[in-house]
Amino acid sequence: MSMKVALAGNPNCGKTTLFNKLTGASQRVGNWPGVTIDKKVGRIRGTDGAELVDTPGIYSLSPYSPEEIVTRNFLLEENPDVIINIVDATNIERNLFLTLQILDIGIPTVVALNMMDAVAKNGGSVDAKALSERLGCPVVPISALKNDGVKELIETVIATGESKKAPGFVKMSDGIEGLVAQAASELSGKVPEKSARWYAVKLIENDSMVCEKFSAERQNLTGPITTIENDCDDDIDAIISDARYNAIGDIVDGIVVRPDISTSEGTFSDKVDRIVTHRIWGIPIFIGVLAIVFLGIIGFGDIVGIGTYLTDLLNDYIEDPIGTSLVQWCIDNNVSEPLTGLITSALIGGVGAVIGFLPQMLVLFLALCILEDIGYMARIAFVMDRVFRFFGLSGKSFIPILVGTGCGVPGIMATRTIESDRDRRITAMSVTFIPCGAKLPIIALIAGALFDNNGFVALFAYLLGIVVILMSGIILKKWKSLSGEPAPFIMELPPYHLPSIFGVIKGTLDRGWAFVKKAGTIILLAAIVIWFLASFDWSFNYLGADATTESILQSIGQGICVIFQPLGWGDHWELTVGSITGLIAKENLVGTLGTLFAIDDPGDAGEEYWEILASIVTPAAGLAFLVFNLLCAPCFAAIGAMHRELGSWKATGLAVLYQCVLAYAVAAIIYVLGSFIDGKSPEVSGIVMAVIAVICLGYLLIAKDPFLQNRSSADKSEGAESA
Amino acid sequence: MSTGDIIVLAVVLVLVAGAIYSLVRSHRSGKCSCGCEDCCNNCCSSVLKIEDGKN
Repeated sequence: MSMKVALAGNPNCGKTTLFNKLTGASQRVGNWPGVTIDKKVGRIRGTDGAELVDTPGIYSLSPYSPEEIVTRNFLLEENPDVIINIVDATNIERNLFLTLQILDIGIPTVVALNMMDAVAKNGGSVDAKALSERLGCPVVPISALKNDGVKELIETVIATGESKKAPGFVKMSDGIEGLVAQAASELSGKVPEKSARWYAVKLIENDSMVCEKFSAERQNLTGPITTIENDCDDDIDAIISDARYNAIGDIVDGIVVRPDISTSEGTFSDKVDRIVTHRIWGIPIFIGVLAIVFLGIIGFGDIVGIGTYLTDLLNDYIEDPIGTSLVQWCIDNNVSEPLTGLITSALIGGVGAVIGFLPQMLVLFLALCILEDIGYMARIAFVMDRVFRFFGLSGKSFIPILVGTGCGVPGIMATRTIESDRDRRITAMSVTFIPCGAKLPIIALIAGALFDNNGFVALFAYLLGIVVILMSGIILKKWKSLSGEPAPFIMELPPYHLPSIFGVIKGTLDRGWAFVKKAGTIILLAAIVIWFLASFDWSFNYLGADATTESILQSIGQGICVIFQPLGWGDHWELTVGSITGLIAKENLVGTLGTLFAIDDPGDAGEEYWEILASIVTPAAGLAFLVFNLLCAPCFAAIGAMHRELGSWKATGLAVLYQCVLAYAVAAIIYVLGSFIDGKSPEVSGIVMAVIAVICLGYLLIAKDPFLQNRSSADKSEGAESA
Repeated sequence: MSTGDIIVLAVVLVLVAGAIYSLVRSHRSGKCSCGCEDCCNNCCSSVLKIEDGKN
C-alpha cells in the first residue's frame, strides 16, 4: 500500500509551492494567505507512488473557518502516514505554535524549514540539527521556491514514514503537564492511543469539537482547570497558549540567529509598506497603480496602450488575410450561401471577435500576475480592510474579491476563508461585482468602440465593482439573516520579493490558454447556435446575409429588449441577446455581437465591428450596457458556485435577483447621468427609472439598520444583568 | 452539395465534436464546466486528483 503524506502549515508559508515541486503539479500559488481552500492530492515524484495531500493553511488545530476544519479533520481522521509540517523559517516562533500541536497528534512528522534562503540572505540562521533534537522529529532546511533541499526532504519523509516512529512532544510547565496527564487518563481507551496527548490538551483548552464529544470527561476536569485559572488569573486557553509560546522560546533559544535588522527602520518590506499601506495615501496609491496598469494596456487620448496596439494587429490579421482568404476559398469552391455565412459570421465574426482581445488579456494578466507575485495584492487587502469595515464588511472579504478578478467561481469558493457565516454569505453574493477575466473583453469592447480606447473605462469598471460591493455590505446587512458586526481581520503581510519569471509567465499563459480554450469550446458552440437562430426564420428558411430582421432570434430578442428601454439600448435586440448569452460565459456577449453584426455586414471584424456598435448606441447607453453586464447575474458556473456556498436554490435565486435589480438600477442612473454630461437627452423612461433607483438605493443606504438597534439593546441589557 | 460544402460541414462538425468532447472531459475530470482553467483548482466539489504531475 502506498504511503499517504499530509502537507500542513501556516497560511502563506509555501505549502502549495512545495506541493508543486514534490508532485510536478501546477496548482495556483499566490503571495497572500488563503490561496488553498480545499485539500489537493498528488503523487510525489521519484517515490513508489507516495500520495501527497496539500491542505489549507492553519495557525492552530482549533479551527474557526470551514477551510481550517478541512485540514484538522484530514490530519485527525484520515490518518496520514507522515505529516510534512512546513515552517516559515523567517517567522519561526509563530509557525512552531502549530508544529507543537501537530507533534501532539503522534503521527510521524518531518518539519520542512522553508525560506531558509531568505533567512540566510538577511544574515540570519537556524540550526536545523539542534532544532530537530529539541522537537523530537527530523527537520530539513529547504527553499521550496529554489528547489533547495527538496530531494533531501523526500528521502527523509519516506524514511520517517517507513520507520513509523512517532515524534516526540514538547513539554509545557509542570502544572499543565499534570493536568494533561489527568485528561489523558480520563480519555484512555476512548481516543486513539497515539493521539491521546492531543485530545487531552484540546479537552483542557476547551476546544468546542473535542469538548462536545467528551463532555462528561471535561466536566471531571473542571475542578483542576479552575484551580489553574485562578492561580494564573486567566482563561485556560490563554494559559495553554502562553505555555506553548514559553516552550517555543526555550526551543529557539540559542539556535536561531535573527537577521540584523534595525528596529527603527525595519526590513525593505516594512519601509515600502509605510508608504503603500499608509492610512491616507494607501487607497490613492492603489487607484494610481490600477490607473497605470489600465492606461498602459488600453491607452488614453492619443496614446495607444500596448494591449490595444497588439489587439489591433491581431484583429487586422483575423480580418485579412484569414477572413478574406476563407471567403475567397468559399467562392472558389462553390460553398453554399448558408455555409459561407456560418464561416464568416460564427467563426470569423463570433469566435474571431473574442480571440481578437487575446493580446489585451495577456498583457493585463501579466500585469496582475506581477502585482500578485511581488506581494502588492496582499497590501491592497490590508488597505481595503479599513474601508470595508466602515461599510460593515470584514477586510477578509477582499481576498475573495482579489481571487475573483481572475474568475468569479474560485472567488466565490474563496469565501470559505471567512469565519463569520454572515460575512461569508454577503461576500459570496457580491464577489462577482468585481470584473472577472471573462468580463474584460466586454470592457475592452466598450472602451474601444465608444470611448476611443480610453483606459479610464477599465479603471471605472473596477472601482465601480468595489463601490457596489461596499454598497451591498450596507444594504444586505439590513436583512435579518445577514445582519451582524464584521468579523475581525488578521492578516500576515508576506514580504515583498522580485516576481518569479517562471511563475508570472506560467500564470499569464495559463489564464491566456483558458481564454483560448473557452473561445474554442463554449464560445464556438454558442456562436454557431446564435448564427443559426439569427439566420433562419421559424419555418427554417435561410434568410440571407442581411435578413436578421425576421429571424427566430430577432423575434425573441425584440420581445425582451423593451425591458432595457430605460437603459438606452432597448431598441437594439442584438444587445439584449448578447446580455442573455453572456450568462453562459461572459465573453460570449462579445462573440454574440460579433456573430450578429457579421451577419448584418459579412466580413466585418475588429474595429469595423466596433464601428457598428458605436453607430447604434450613445456612449452613455454603451456605458449603461457595460455596467448592467458587469453587475448583473454572473455566468452559470458562478451561479452554481454561489449555490454551493449559500446552500439553497432559494438563497441563490434571491442573490441573483438582487444582483440583476441592482445592476439595472445602477445602469439606469449611469445612463441618465452620462447622457446629461454628454449633452444628450436620455429616454424619459430612463429618467423615471433613474429617479426611482436613486430614491430606493438612497433609502436602503441611509436608513438605519433595524437589527443594529436590537443588538445594541441586547448588549445594554446584558451589561445591566451583569452589573 | 458541392465538395466545398462537404469540406466546410466536415470541418464544422469536427470543431463542434472537439468542443463538446473537451467540455465533457473537463466536467468528468472534476474541472469547472465553464472551461476556465483558472478556477478548476478550486471549484469542483470533490478533491482534485493530480496524477504524475498532470492536472
